[in-house]
Amino acid sequence: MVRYFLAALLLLAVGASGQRLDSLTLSKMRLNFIVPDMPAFKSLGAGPSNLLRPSTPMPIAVALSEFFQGDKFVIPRAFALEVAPAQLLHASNTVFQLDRQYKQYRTWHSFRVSLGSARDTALGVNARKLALGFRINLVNKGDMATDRQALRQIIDALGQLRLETRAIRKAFAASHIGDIKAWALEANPSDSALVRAAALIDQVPDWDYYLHQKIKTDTVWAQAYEQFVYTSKAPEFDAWFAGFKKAYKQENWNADKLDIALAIMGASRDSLLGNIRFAQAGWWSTYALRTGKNGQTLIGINAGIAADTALKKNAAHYFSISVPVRYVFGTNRVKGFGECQYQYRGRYAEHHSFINLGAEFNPVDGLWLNVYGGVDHNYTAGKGSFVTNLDIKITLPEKFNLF
Amino acid sequence: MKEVYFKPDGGALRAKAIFPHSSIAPVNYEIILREAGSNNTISLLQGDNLNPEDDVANLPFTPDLLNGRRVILDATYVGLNPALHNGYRIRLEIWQDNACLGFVEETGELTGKGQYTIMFIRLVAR
Repeated sequence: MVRYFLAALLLLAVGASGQRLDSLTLSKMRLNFIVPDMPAFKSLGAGPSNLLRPSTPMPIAVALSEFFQGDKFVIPRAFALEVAPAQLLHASNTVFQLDRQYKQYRTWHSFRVSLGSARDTALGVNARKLALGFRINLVNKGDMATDRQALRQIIDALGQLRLETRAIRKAFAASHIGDIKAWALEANPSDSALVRAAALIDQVPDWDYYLHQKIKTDTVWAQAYEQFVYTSKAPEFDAWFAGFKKAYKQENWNADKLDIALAIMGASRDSLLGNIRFAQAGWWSTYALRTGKNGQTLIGINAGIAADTALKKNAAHYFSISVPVRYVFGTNRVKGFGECQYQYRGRYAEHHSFINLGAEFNPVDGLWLNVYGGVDHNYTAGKGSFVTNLDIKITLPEKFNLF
Repeated sequence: MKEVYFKPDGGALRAKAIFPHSSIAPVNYEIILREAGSNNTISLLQGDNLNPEDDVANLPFTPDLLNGRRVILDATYVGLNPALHNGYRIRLEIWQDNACLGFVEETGELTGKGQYTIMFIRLVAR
């Protein structure tokens, strides 16, 4: 199964590069909030909590269940891959069209497809579960790209950059007035008397046009200009923007979000796709609500229909529903949380509660760990058990070049 | 320099700027009108790309006084996420009597750092 997973990743990379993504570079501008939970992964039953955590969409993300037992590494019991097709398949020549239809594009931009697989030892030694999930983001506050207040601050800083850049260009042109006059004479001989008599750069009509053309088309002049900017008092916009982005991320990890998702899962006694039978369909919706400066409350619902067995055609189907509520407190990279979940399991007509404590960590760029443990109490049977879970979620680091 | 021909006895001229969407690259710009044969300028419009419909400047003189003047678009911008939107296109158009007479356009790659462009159109009476 690991081979299939690696093959899928390879195909994805080849396919994406075939869509003219070869010139893309992942920038410092991407905000690496926590990787959202994937419906395909949740559908596999990889953990006792049925909360589907919303977050800012990532182009590619991978989720793994824990892959060590004691002191040994083992193949993860479950894993899933989620892709955002619009983010991956975007080609630069469609930007203009997408600009005009931004509202529609924004929804499409958040659409993600996930594919997950897990072992199913209850069904057989070689049994597998395969899940396909879809999700869309309906509310995504805290996204700098659509936050008009943040955009206004950036635009104001760009205004200052424009004035500073204009002054630097003028100073550069003044220090090369002889060259500028020669370019002006070459381009427009009818102005020769005016240009020859010019003692100051402002007396050369359209000096800024000639300079701009030269910098754009001549690498020697482009380098000379860059060197001039470097040695003069360079605009501080880039440093300001890096700091602004960092502060924005710190202040907006807990902004309001609403995701809805659907997943369909099949199971097979072996690894043959042809033997897969319907096992479960699930639907999720989670609202993340900013709660104070450093907190976030997640209110979710998960409903689904599951077959009692994937081994026969006339399986009975049962309804289940979960209502988890989680309170998260901390910073973007380290958070603790407490969660309560009510669950009705139709197959056994059981009512459960799951009360747990956990944490989300971002130890290195692109890697997120989600660990929790708590008591799953079965009210119908009158007994409880202690359950722990570790999910590992990986996305492209902020400073990683994929293509 | 790009020349755009207009009717001196036609309707008023307008300069329209088109930018990437503000969610892709916020822009701060100024549209300037420069006198014929000199660098004396009038600022026509300073703005941003938050509302694309207001990125239009009416030229303040009757068309017969515009021959030889240059319309200049001076803009700074920054790509918010070049990993997803790395291409940009900025265009300056001249309109008269509900018709686009001509334009100058710049395409390029967003770097994620502050970027600058200046675009020129020379108005020529025909």
